[in-house]
Amino acid sequence: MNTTCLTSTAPLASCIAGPVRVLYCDTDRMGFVYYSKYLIYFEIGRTTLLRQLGSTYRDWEDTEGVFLPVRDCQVQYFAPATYDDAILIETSITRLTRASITIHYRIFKQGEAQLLAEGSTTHAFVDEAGRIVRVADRLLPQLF
Amino acid sequence: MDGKALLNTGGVNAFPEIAEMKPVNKPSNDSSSAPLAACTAGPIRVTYRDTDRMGYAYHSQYLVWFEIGRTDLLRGLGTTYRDWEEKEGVYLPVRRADIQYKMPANYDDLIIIHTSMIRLTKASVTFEYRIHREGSQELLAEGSTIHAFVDKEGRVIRAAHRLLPRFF
Repeated sequence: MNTTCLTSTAPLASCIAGPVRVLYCDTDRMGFVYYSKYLIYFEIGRTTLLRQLGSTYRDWEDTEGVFLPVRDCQVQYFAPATYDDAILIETSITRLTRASITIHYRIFKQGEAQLLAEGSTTHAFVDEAGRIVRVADRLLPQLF
Repeated sequence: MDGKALLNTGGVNAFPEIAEMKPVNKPSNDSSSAPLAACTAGPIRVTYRDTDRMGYAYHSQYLVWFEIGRTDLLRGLGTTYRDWEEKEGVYLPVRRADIQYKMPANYDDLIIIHTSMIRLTKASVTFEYRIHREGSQELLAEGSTIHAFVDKEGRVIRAAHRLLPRFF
């Protein structure tokens, strides 16, 4: 398939990252994981997904000169994660163009069905100078 | 101000217990978008630990700056979130957070956080944030957070009119 924009209700690619253990330093005085920490779990999810697609974000930066700054993100919090929980990050690419990617995340406790949080991030593909580059079809040809 | 529209920005309202509350503070003849309360926090220095290998503040750091903004806003209203927890037994967990990143913040920058309380019901509060570099009008990022008022057990409680009576 060779289109400039792919959208679908079914994810283009997905993975489950983790389990990641909640550390003491991740918790706040409510005893729960502080709300910004979920953005770090999201990063674990998306880099794991790229790795499963046979690529690594480090190589994109170091070898290809391609960077994926976050343009926007949103998180909805449903139930808290607590100290020593093992959490899973279900990660899906939900939209991909040559110059941008949107990734959706759902966070669970390992072995439990209850959704703790979900969210998404949208990233641009840019070069070292921050200019938009249309390279996703070269970096992820299997999704185009 | 259309509070319902704000709650529904994700297309799905995940917190019906909040949305079903009517915005009691809204004067019937007020069509302005003026915030209920606003404050400017900072300047705050971007430290080395805030930065990532792109050289910029990592994107989760903005949520920490948002917290600084909203606690300063409450302080400016003559109260503190610490007192809400310790004396009133009221907690404000985040239900939803949204951020749009416009320009990066760099190491050693001084940043300013403009915070507005844009919606208040008895059981929820919504803040909006705009982050600038000090002395510049250029917007680095903007976003919002929605919080529920809950008790120590996490049950939603209608406490805002008691804690912030001036808005009710």
